[in-house]
Amino acid sequence: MIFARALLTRDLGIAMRSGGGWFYAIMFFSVFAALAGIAIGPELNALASAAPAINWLAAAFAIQLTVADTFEADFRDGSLGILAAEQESLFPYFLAKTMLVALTAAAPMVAASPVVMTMFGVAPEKLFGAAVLLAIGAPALVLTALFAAALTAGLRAGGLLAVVIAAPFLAPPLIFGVLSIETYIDQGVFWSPETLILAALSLFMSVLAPPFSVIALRLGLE
Amino acid sequence: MFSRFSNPAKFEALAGKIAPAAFIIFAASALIGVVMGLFVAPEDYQQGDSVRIMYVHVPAAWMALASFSFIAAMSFVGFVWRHNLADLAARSAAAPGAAFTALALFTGAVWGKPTWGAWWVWDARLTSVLVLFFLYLGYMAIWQSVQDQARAARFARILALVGAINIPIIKFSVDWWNSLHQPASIFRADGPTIHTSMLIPLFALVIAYMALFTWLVLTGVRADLINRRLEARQLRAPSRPVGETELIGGEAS
Repeated sequence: MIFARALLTRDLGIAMRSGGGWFYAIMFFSVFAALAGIAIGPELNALASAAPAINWLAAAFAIQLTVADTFEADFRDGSLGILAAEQESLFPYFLAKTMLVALTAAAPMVAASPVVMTMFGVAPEKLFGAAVLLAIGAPALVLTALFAAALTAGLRAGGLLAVVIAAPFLAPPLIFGVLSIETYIDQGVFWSPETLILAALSLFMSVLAPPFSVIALRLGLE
Repeated sequence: MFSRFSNPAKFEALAGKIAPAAFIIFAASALIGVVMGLFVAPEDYQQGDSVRIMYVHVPAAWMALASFSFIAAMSFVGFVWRHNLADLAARSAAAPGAAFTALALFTGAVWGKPTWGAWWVWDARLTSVLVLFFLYLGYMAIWQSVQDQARAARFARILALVGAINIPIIKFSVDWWNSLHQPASIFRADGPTIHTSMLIPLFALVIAYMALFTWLVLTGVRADLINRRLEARQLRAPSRPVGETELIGGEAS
């Protein structure tokens, strides 16, 4: 735990200092949404019906792309090799990285999502709930992305392969993420079955992703 | 059982017998299935002749899923017992599996055009087969991205297992999301609801696809084993002048 905290502090320090590492995800999220808005056109009904889908797609890709090289730097400079040699397990390391992504990529995006949703014509009183729904599903996105990154970091195959590998696993959170926001906006039901399943997907990925990612990281070091 | 046939010599002895037999079964039942499906089986009173696409489409869709289950099972064996042959079998199954998946998607589109009036419908089963196809592509990309096959196998196992765990969830999600497709009409508690004259070519082609898959996987594994032996021989061989090296492949043993 002490180790994980030290690592997280170090990585947060790096993210804050190095030219706004924490800013990329939120920037990508906003730019993607803005381009989607331009592509769809100024028609308000079309924008409003696309809002949940754009919100979730932007979030999924922003997280994918920020996570893609999370382990890469530690692989390259050998620090992951040293950590793996002196630590009994890489779980604390993976936990620290998960927290790092949650704090520097997912949290700013959840905070930015009300702005994007407003631009897409979502009613102001629904904005907070929609952002909370994104926060409920975000762990599933983050952990899927981390798993794919852990698998490809050892392959030294670049971030695009990670996106290809993660794509099939993104389908369930995308489906239930969009459905839960739609149900909330149209019917005003927050704890719909879709929301509960979305939460279940996040819990499921937090059980599935860490052990397999840790195995993949160890493999990559060999 | 796995340990017995993880010995390459024993495996090759067995595969040498099964592979030709599988090919003969494939050729015979494919012939029966195609002839009966095209000429004997009646056309559907609603769908007309386009119902015949079913004989190609349904077995392909089943095999798409069955091949991935095979890959996952072999990856599990490889993961737990570290059997080299299991990894080779999983790898040899990937390309046929992806081909079956692509065939199911293509024939689905061809059938969908006259029936639904569109090449592609975002229907639950079509969509989950498409996601399965992406899973195959990712799996094959992993094998391609590492030079050392033993190392690639260990990455591929992880993806196959995580993929297999996720398939039911993807299927469930897509079903929830949308379903226009007709409900299952062959395996039902009250017996099949399609006529026997259509069932015979259908099952003949199911057997043909399975036999083809068996033949392809066994042949793939045997080719891998032979390749490996050739490489090992090349490594052991004394170094030669540059001009002579290409003779090694054709050298009598």
